[in-house]
This record gives sequence, structure tokens and C-alpha cells, in this order.
Amino acid sequence: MTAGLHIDPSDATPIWRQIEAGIQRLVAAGALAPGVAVPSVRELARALRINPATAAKAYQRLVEARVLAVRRGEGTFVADAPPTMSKGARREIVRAAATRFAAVAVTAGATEPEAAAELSSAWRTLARERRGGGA
Amino acid sequence: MRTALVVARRELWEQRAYLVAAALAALLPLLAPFLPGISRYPAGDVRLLAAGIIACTLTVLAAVTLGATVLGRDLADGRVGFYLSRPISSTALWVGKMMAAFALILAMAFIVLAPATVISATMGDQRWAARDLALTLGLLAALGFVLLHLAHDVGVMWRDRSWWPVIDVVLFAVVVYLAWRALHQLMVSFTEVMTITAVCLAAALAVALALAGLVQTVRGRSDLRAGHRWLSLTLWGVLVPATVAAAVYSHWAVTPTPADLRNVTALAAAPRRAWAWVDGNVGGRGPYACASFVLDTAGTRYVRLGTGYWARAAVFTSDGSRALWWESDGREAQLMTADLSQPNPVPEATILTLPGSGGELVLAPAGDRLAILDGMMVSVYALPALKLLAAARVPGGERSYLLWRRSYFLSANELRMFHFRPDDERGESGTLAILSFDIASRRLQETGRIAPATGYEKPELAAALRNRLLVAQRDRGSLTWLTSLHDGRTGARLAALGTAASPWAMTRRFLADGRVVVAGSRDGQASLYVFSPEGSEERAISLGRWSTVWSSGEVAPAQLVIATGRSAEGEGFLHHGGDVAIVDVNTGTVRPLATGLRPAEFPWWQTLSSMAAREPGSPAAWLFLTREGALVCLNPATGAQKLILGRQKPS
Amino acid sequence: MSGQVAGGPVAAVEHLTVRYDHVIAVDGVTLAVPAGSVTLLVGRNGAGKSSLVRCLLGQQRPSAGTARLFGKDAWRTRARAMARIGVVPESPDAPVTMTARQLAAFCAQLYPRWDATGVLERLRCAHVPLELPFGRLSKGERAQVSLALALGASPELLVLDDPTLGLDPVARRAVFDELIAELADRGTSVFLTSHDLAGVEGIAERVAVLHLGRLLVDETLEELKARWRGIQVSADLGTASLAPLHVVHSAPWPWGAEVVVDNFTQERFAALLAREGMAGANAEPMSLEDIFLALAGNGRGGQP
Repeated sequence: MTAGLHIDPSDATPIWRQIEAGIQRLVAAGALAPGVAVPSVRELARALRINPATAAKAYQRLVEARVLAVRRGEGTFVADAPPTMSKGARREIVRAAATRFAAVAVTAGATEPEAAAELSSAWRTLARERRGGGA
Repeated sequence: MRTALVVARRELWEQRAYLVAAALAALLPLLAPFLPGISRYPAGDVRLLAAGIIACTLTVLAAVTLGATVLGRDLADGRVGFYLSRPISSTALWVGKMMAAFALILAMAFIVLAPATVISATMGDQRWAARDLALTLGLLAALGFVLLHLAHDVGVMWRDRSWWPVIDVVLFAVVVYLAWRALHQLMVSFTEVMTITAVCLAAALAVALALAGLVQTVRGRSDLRAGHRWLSLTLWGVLVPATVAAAVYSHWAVTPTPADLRNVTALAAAPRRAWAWVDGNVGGRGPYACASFVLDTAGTRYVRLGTGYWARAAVFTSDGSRALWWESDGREAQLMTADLSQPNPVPEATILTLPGSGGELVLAPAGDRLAILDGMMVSVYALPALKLLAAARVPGGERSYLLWRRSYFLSANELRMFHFRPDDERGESGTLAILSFDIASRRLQETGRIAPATGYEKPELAAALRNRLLVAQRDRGSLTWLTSLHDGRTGARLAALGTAASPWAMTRRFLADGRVVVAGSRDGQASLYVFSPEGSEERAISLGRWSTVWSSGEVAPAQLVIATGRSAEGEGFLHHGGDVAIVDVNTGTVRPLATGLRPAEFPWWQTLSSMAAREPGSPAAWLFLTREGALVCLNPATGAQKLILGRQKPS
Repeated sequence: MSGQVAGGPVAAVEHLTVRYDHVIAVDGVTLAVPAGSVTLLVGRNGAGKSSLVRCLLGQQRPSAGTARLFGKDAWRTRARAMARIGVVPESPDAPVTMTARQLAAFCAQLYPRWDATGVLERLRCAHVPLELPFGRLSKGERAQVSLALALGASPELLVLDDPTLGLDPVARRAVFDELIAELADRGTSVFLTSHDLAGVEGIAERVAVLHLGRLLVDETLEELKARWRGIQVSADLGTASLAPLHVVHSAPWPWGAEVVVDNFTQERFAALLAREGMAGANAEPMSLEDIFLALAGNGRGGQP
């Protein structure tokens, strides 16, 4: 899981929020299926080289948001029916990515139709792969 | 403290190399007897001596190196934080490290000494036993303890590279000076007390050194500089007061006043004027400590002759204006003098210095001659220049001797001495030879002899007046005394003066007009006998039921002061105060004057020359000691007692 | 935890001043280490960090001010407090002749609670030879031993004075891994000084910056990161025109300038963007290292 979770310590966003957002994204993308175990606070902290308290805080917020669930004695798991990402959160993430894509395209000198065409193509490829057997 | 033990255990393991070194060194004494050149000495001696030397050397080296490194190195390297970051109190840290170092030093000494001890014991050598081993270990332990803490403290001072050690050096000099001064003063006078003081100072040193290191560790911790400040504060805070106290004490000890005398053990009065030489014990200066003074019994002036364990005897000139005595350290004696006519007399050194401890001093009546009798050597000096006029050696066998305090000047040119030559081994019987030393011609010759009467022991010289002598001899069988009158030059017997019955404490003296009085006690009855100048008995005066009688002298012509007392058989007269009375020799009346007193002047210290020079009425006759040992002056008219020294119980 | 001061900081200094002759190493610093948190003290060499730590641990008497451990004076209660504190010093100070095993055995006798197997396990996992004398271990191994000894007593407070000084990246990572594991297992309070900020940014909760003996910053990392930004502007404008944003310093940038501000908020930045010629301004977050450089590097002294 941590492979898909990117923590930038120098980012202005607090680390726990980065973790929270990252896990939400993975769950929304289906990379973390419902019922799958997530690393313990200890393991997560170690892997990301962060303060376990920070990891714990992120997990706590996710549990409160019902994205994750704690099973006593067994560990922490993705909730069985994780709420989909809220509209606002989704828009935020997509907008940020779109801004980055736009900046790259503009810098490369592409036109808007070109960029839009590439976007659609990539979407379709992804959707095809997903249908084909999971990411 | 548990943590101290943990630290100590660790430190012992860390420094185990010292024990290995000691084990190797322990082999040396065992091999020493076999070394070339040494094999001719007894092996036991060589072993023990070598073991002792090596143990001592190891102790010193180990103490110094351990002391400098065990804590100091960690402190300087910044490694003391390892301990300070753990639950080890600073006290426990210091105690643990020092305890380990000290244990190492002890162990090393033991390792070196033990094999030699065991071998000596198995060989039956009695000179070195477990007790000696324990004693040696104890001494080495004390030495090691002091050196260990000294090395640590100096190490801290050295490692603190600041200007502060300058203060340490200054205070060190102050302390050394004070200690040396104190011990030196005491060494001259009171070696016993000096030893105690030295031991106390050494203990203070050990305590100061150890305490300083502890305080430095507890209050300085990782800060070397702050630690050094605390170390100095503690070290000098203990040593400076200690040495100041020692110096103050030693100054006090060697400057007693007559008021410090607890008793009077010897007294000799000047022939004229009221001066007397007094010697007595002083307190607070160790056992047998005494002080000698020449003091004015009619006033408050005094001259301190010295303090120590032995009396300094002073002699007075005939007019009582000057006192002379010896100041000696055993190897050399210097003649001291004091001018008693000054308002503040002080001891002055004369130019006369002789090897040895001095000798008997004899002054001529006119005060112009001084004779010094040292063993069998006689030297005569002119006063006041102290120019040597003549010297001679008295010939005689090994067991012969000059009578002490019985020599006197007949004139400025003639010195009379009495030479006793024993007949037998024990010296109880022998002949008294009368010697005359002519100073101008430097000739010493025998002018006469006094041989003992048959059946009697050696003759003793009781008194001399002009050219006549009073001689007393004891009958070997009945132990009674014979008093006789003899010619001063030839020694021929002029008259026998009867026998007085008691074997001790008798008075025989000349009166100023030439008559002789003999006082004694027979069967508990005391009597006084008066004889004419030719020796015929004039009068017998009963003094009462007393067992001891003594006469201090004439208060007026023919008025004799008599002190009587009671003593148990064999006890000296001197211990019991009795009654004082004035006896009129012409009329035979006895006028009681006071009770509970005994004469202060000791017959032992009286010289013939001073007695001869004494005139009726001289104050010496009125000095008495009370039962408590206080010195008083008795008023002949009223019988009132004036306290001169000591304390008098209210009557 | 037993004996912890309820609600109070586990360690604190108040108006702490340390003077050496005429040099003031620590100048009136007031700092508290809250229980259960990781506090990072950052400063350049010679900024006074080690003097502060020594006073905090009761090993040195401050010239003025107080240092407290668990609410009690550090100097007076040092030995007792050390039973609840683990210290990893800047330069390893264990006796060079003792092996790791001997050191562990030595420490075991000093603490009321000692996890002997845990310590040896930790060392084995770190591949530290247990039978070599301390002096013959590599720097990284020594750091591991120091940390293991500090952790062996399950301390309530861990004080690390520049624990990764001179360590290679692998050793550095190993030290932080241990620290993180300890934090995860026990939630120990940590007081950490460092000037290697790369690895430490992830675990710090509170940050204090010490510069020339004075405390410039004392707040949570979140708050710090929230208000510091490096803003790249395309026009070379004077710093005054960026008000109300407070500019700490500015440097020329290839196409304009980069200014560092320390009171960034989105509103203030939006206001800036609305201004003439500011459309291309870009506000980048700053790493802790960047913030520290801005505060203390090259003689700059920024005040919040």
C-alpha cells in the first residue's frame, strides 16, 4: 500500500492529512478493496519514516470517517462499505491533477484539443484495463 | 549504596591490569635472595625487605596513577556524562570509583607482601607475623589513601586550564608554612604532642583531600572549572583552619605563664631578693609537660626559661640580680642569662656555647666567676665577659663522680669540689675527696679526704660554712645517721654531733653565727638539737609528735623556721603538708605559725653555695606549698599566706 | 506511565542562561517538552544546544534560570530522574573497553526496570557485534548501542543530542527506525536536537530553533509549515510591496525573485495575486531545512 502513498514532508499539507487523502484515494480507486488489512500504525510509521502518532492520527480520522474499521485483536482493515469519496474531496483531487496536466501541456506547447484528446485516450485505456481484471 | 558498588565493580574489572602487575612484582622478592651479591645476606631478611620496598613503590605508583585517571580522565575527556546520564548519584559515582581504586591499592600491596609473609611463617621466622603484615598494610593503606586523593585533586587542578591554580599554590604555601611552624615549635619542646599534632594534621589532610574530591564531583559534575572551584574551597576550607589551629595551639603550648603551672615540682630560691626558680607541670601539652620560670615572688615579674619534658634549672648570683641557665637541644647547650633588676627581664643568650646538654653551674659569691662542671671536666670562666680562665679534668675511676650541687667558690681564685670514689660495685660505700682548683695556676689538687666511719656508708655533705663542713653518714646496720663536723680543707673530723634517729628527711644546717642545728625525728618524736661552732651540744628542743622535720632557714638571727609533718613509713616527706613554726634557738621556744604547709624549696635542688650565701631574713625561708600544690608566701609576723602560684582552697 | 507529572511537561527550562566567561551560550531560553510528544531543537553548531541539554539533564549548573525534569529541579533530582530518562549523547561516551554485552549488563544493575532481552535483540537485529569493545565499533554501531542502552530502561523521556552526527545514511536510517519503533510501541516523550533535518522532519511534532543562544521559534511543525512559504514572483519587486506578507528575505530568481515569507495565509496570498503584475506568483511550501536556513543561515535572524 505504501507504494501508492506518497508523503512529502516538505509539503505544506500536514502529513496526517496527506496520509488520509492518500488512503482515501486508494480506496476510491479500488486499490484497497473493502475488508483488506492495512498496515499497522507501527509499520506505516516505519515505512514512511514518520511519527507513529501522526500515522495514528490519520488512521483515527479515517476510522471516524468510516473508511477504515478496527477489528479488536486483529488489526485495522478497510471498511466493508467504505463511503465513496465526497464530491468536494473528489473535485479537489481531480482539479489539482488537472491543473498539473494543464501546466505540463501548455509548457509543452500543446493546444487544448490536443490535450483533451490525450486525456480521453488515457481514460479509455485505463477503463479497459480495469474491466480486464483489476488494478 | 548499591549503585556505588556497581560502579566499583566495573572499575575493578576495568583496571585489573594493576593486579596482574602486582602479581608479577610479587615474584621479585622471592627471587631477590638469589641475585648475585645479595645471596650472602640472610634470605628471610632480603625477602621481607624487598617485599616491603616493592609494596611501597607499587602503592605510591598505583595511588598516583589511579588517582589521576580514575575520575579525572573521564572528566577531562567528557566521558563522565556516561555516568551522569544514568541513575547514579554523583556521590555514588565518586565513592564507587575511589573505593575501587583504594581496594586495588590495598590488594596490590597484599599480593606483594603475602607470599613473603607466608614463606617467613613456614620457615619459622618470628620477626614477621600476621600482625606485622597487618600493620604494614595499614600504613600503606593510609599512604595510598592520601596519595590517591591527592593525585585526583591535583589532576583536577591541572586539567582546569585557568588561572585559579595560582590561588591553590598560594594557599598551599600558607598551609605548609603554618604546619611547619606549628610542628617545629612543638618539636623543640613537646615531641609527644608534636606527634599527636602531626597525626591530627595528617588526618585533616586525608579528610580534606577526600572531601574535596567528593564535593568537586557532586557540585561540579561535568563542569571541570566549577568543580575545581568547589574542590579548592573544600580543601583549603579544611586545611587552613586546621593548620591555623595547630599553629595557634603550638604557640600557646610553648608560651606558658606561671599561672599555667598546675603544680610545683621543683623550686630553688635566690640567696637574696625574692626571686625563685620554679618548675612545674603544665596542662594541655601532653603528659610530663613542664615549664620552668624564674619569678619574682614579691611581685608579678617573671622570665620563662622554657617548656618541654625536662626542667631547666637556673642558678642565681649571690645578690639575686641575675639568673643563669642552659638552653640545650641535646647536642649543643647555650648559656642563657636574665637581668632580674630590669622592670621587664628577658632571656638573653650569652656567647658561651658548649657541646652536650650543659653542666652544673656554680657561681662565685662575688658574681665574678662561673664554674661549669660537666662530667669530670671543670671549666672556670670570668664573668661577665665569659672568658675561659682555666679548665681541668678530674682524674678518677669510672664509677667516681663529683658531688652534684656541692661545689663552691672559696674565693675568686679557688674552687672547692667534692669527689666521691666508691669502694665497691654498688657505690654505697666510698671515700669523699676534697679537691681544690687553683684558677690562676690552673692546678687541681686533692687537699683532704673524708673517709666513712667504720660500719657506715658513704659520707654525704649536708652543709658548708666558711671552712667547715657538716657531713652525714648512715649506719649500715641500724640505719641511723651520724652527723659530724669536719675541716673544709683537710676533711679531718672535728666533732661528732650525736645521732638523730630517723633515717630520712633530716635537716642539718649552719646558723649564720656558726652554730649547727640538727633536726630529726625518733620514734615519732621530733626534736631540734643546737650545737656550738665547735660541736658541743648546747640545747635540745622538742618539736612535738612529728615524723618529719625540715628547716627552711633563719628568719632572723637565731630564729629558725621549722616545718614539721607526718609521713607514713617509707614515704617521702615531701608529700604531706604539716605545720610551720618559728623556733627561737636561744630560748628554745616554738611559736606555731601555720598549718597544712610544706617547704617549697626542695632539698634536692639546693646548692651548698647558695645556702652558704643565704642571710637570715632572705625570702626563701618563707616559700611554702599548700596541700593542693599552690605556692604561698608566709608572713612571719602574722602567719598570713599570700598566694603566688596555683589555687588555694578557701579555709 | 508511573510517576509522570499529570498534565505538565516532562522536561522544561525557564529563562535558562548559560555563560562561559564572557560568552553567552544560552540566553534566557524558555522551552517545554510536552508529555508524549517529539520536540525537536534545531540550531547551528555552537548555538548552545549542548549546553542547554546538559543543564536540562542536571549535569551542569546554569548561570541563571531553572531546568526541570518531571516538574522537579533537574540539578537536585538528577540521579532519580535519570531512572526514567534515556540519554543518547552527541559523541558516544561509553567506556571504550567495555563490550556491548558488558555495557548492557552494567546498565541492567542501575535501573529498576531493564529489558535485557529486548536490548540484546535490538542490537542483534542491527547487526552490532556484542563482543567487540566499544572503542572498536563503527560510528553507526556505537550510535545503535547508545540508543539501545537508552531504550533498555523503558524511559518516559528520551533525550537525543544530535544522534545522527557523522553517521552514513544507512546508519542514520537505522537510528530513526529504532526511534520510530519505540515511539510506536510506547509513545515515549522525545527531546531531540539535530542539525540533520532531512530525516527528522517526519517525526517531529514540535520544533524549536536556537540561534546565537536565543530561541527564535517554538511551535508545532504544522503551524510552522503553515505560515512559511517561498514565493516566486516574476517581477523584481521590492519587499515592501508584498505587504501584508512579511518578507524574511529575498533572493534573485532566474526570472524574477524568490521571497521567503513567514506569515502566509491563503487570504493574504490571494490578495497578493490580485495585484498588478502578480498573476504568475507561485507559493511553494518550505521544508524544515529551508525554514531553518532562512532563520539562521548566513547571519540572517528572522523573528516571527
